Amino acid sequence: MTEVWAGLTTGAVYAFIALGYNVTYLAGGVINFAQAYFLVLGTFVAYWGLEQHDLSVALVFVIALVVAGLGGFVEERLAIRPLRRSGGSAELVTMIGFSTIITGALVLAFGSNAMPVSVFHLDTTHEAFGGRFQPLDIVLIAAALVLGFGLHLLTHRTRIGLAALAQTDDREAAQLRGINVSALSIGGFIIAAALAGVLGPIVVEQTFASASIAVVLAVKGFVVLVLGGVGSHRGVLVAGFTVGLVEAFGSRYVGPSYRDDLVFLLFVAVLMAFPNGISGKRRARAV
Amino acid sequence: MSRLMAGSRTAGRPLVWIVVFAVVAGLPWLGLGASDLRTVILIAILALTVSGLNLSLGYAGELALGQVAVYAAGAYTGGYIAISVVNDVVVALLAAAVAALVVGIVTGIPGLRLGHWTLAITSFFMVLLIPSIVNLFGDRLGRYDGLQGIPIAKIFGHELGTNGFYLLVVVVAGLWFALLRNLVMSNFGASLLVLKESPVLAGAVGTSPYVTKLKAYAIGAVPAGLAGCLAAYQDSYISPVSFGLDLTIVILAASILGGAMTVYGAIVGAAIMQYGPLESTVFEKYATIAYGAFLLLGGLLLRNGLAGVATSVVGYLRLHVRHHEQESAQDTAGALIGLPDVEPTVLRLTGLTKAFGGNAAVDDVSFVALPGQITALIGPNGSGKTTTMNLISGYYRADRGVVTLNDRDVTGLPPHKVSRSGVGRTFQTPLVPRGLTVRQVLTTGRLGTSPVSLVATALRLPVHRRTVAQDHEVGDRILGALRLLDRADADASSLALGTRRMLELGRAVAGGSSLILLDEVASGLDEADIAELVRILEQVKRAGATILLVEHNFALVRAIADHVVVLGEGRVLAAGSIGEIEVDPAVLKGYLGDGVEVTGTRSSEHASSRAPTDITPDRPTGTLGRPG
Repeated sequence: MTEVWAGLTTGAVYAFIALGYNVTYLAGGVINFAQAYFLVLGTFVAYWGLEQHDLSVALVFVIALVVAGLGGFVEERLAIRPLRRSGGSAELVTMIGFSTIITGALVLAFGSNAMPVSVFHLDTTHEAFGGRFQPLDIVLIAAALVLGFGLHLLTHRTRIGLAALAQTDDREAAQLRGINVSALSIGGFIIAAALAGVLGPIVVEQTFASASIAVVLAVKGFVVLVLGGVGSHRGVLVAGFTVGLVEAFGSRYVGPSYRDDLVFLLFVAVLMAFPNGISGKRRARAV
Repeated sequence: MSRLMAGSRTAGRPLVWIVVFAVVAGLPWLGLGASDLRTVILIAILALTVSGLNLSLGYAGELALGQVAVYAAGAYTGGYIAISVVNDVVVALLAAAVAALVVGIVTGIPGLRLGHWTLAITSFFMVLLIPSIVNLFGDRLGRYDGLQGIPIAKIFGHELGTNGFYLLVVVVAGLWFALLRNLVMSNFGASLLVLKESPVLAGAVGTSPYVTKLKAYAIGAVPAGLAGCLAAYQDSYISPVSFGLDLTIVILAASILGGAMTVYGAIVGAAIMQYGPLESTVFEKYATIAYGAFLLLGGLLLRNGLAGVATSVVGYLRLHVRHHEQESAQDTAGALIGLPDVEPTVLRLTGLTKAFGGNAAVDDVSFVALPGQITALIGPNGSGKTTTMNLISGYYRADRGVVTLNDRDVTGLPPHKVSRSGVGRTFQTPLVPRGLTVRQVLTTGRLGTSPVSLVATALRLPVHRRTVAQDHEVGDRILGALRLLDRADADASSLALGTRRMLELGRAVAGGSSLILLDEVASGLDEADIAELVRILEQVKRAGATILLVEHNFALVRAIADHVVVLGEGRVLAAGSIGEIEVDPAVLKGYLGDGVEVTGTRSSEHASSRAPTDITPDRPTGTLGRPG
């Protein structure tokens, strides 16, 4: 059962990234590659504020939110908007560039070692259902569930969510219906980035402050996104926890160095069997 | 401006490259120092890897980040063979190329199925797995410690000294770039640009999008494998951790900076990275930020890298120099030459049905279109005209019903196979790939019917030359008929809408298609364009083709259609000659409206001179195959 707790916790972190991808996808039709980098930025804000400067936890959260949100704004303006109409892989290239700059800056400022940060001081270990867990695990899992279902309601029950859904289906038609797709896009980037920033201090006890994990999280988050179905928050939750569990049990029974290989195999197998993800609807061809 | 265009004009260029190659190859004997030679070797190795990425990113439009995994496969294969099997660099290179090809295909298959992001991420995921996969092979690949003790390269038993190895690297790179140039400046290169423009178009000209993508990706793996093998010999040591994110970013940045849609841009990009962030100690701390900035700025500002900037400048100069020579060539191309005859084909639809969700877009549609006739498919928006056309083309799969060409069942075939069965088509929004000349775009219409193997293309074998000559001849004839011969070498994507529509029509007939599907071919055209269109359609008809025309412009239909099928809410309302359907009560009620006679459409006996104008604006959304 210890693996279950560990798997769900890891899965929650992946789900955070994938849910962030969903937000920018629904709002602007673009999956923000830098999402995981903003989360890592948040972890470094926690390191800087708590380990280096002894700020209050609340202030650290506010700073992480503002810094990452600002980052999302800059990214949308710099790396996304100018390429709106060019299509292809142009945006992906500029987003990777933007993300690489974040990594480079973090390494320059803080070095490349992984540094532990304690935020909540909840490092007691408990037993439940025959497995060991820490209270923080529950916090992470609960946060993922709340975020996932919250976003689901926001997307399907509010005007702004429906506007976003309309926009992903047909950007021009949505514009004609009076939806400000441009504001939606930049709003989505800021909100998703700020969200990732706030999650930084929450996950940092799990991940440490480490610049090199961003790319791993970005890839795993995308795997979760595709498995769960792009745009589906509930699918992403299920896929996130599934991938986390595969990793945890794979580490235990196959070997810790092969857990990524297992995830990859799972990913490829599902891609070949269900090209639209587990819960993805089969979209009519874009013809 | 494109390399394809520039290449077709400059026959003298190979000589330039041979001289450049000879000078570079001779550098050790011209007194270049050891450290500079090393830099050239590293540039060549990086350039090889980058050129593979360019093929998939620049030409096929798919961003693959797995070059590093392929490079690692080449390095480990080469290193292992040199240490444990036989130290012959030729054997090692061949084995590395094969290993790279296999890794490329295996890693490409899942990602390419979905393309775009999925390919980028699955291929990049492979890179993260390199250390653990290496570890799986056990001690023979040195596990996490790395593979040590790769011997000095030998070729047929002779040990290669520093200069010898340098020469080897330069020769391998030179040969590869020559082959790549041949591949890219060919129908294969054009087929990649067609795919990049739109997978829908790729199917329409008879090429399978998936197979074309896979070919580009697999071929792109080969140079990365060779580069890995050369790098293993160069360093005599392979570390599994050296194949990671940083190298991926360096390769991508070199590609973007040099220009992904070029052959030689890879060398420029590699040289910049090698002389800049990779070697310089000033950069050391800021290297990662510099790579990121290269990607961000390169992606934003350089449309096709530095090579693209250079080509634009050269193209601009050329245009201005050539401008005066061109004038006299005008007006010599007449319309006297007809189009080549085609095999008469009867299109028959029987009970064709297609529903989206619960909504029957096409409901039990049956009709026949005869050769040498124009059959018009008309009806209000949403009546199922374009859906019918897409069912014939194979973009949709029919729920029920059969489509036959001369009694041959083509129902359910993928678009490229339908196209190869002799079906050409145009699109509501013309799909003209960027980076091709008018003649090249026209020739892409023959991709499905006159294939040439990649080997023949790369080596410029006689069969390739014959096909090119034939393409040229047919192309000239069609361009003559379209009165576009004087613009044969112009950049096709920058033509006016009317001309692009004519070109699309030409492309649809270029492969000898006997059934031509025209989707709102007149929309957005002015009077003169429409008169020209009518003239060309008459020629296509005379060549014996079966023409199916989806059209809103009723005056045009009245002027040229031999047979009219009226659709309403997915069903056939009426079919017959224009005279018959015009008085059909169901049609009057359901489509033309009772006021039809007041609108003046009756006076169109002189339709072609009286300028039929578009009565329905082109729907801006949902058109077939919008890029993106």
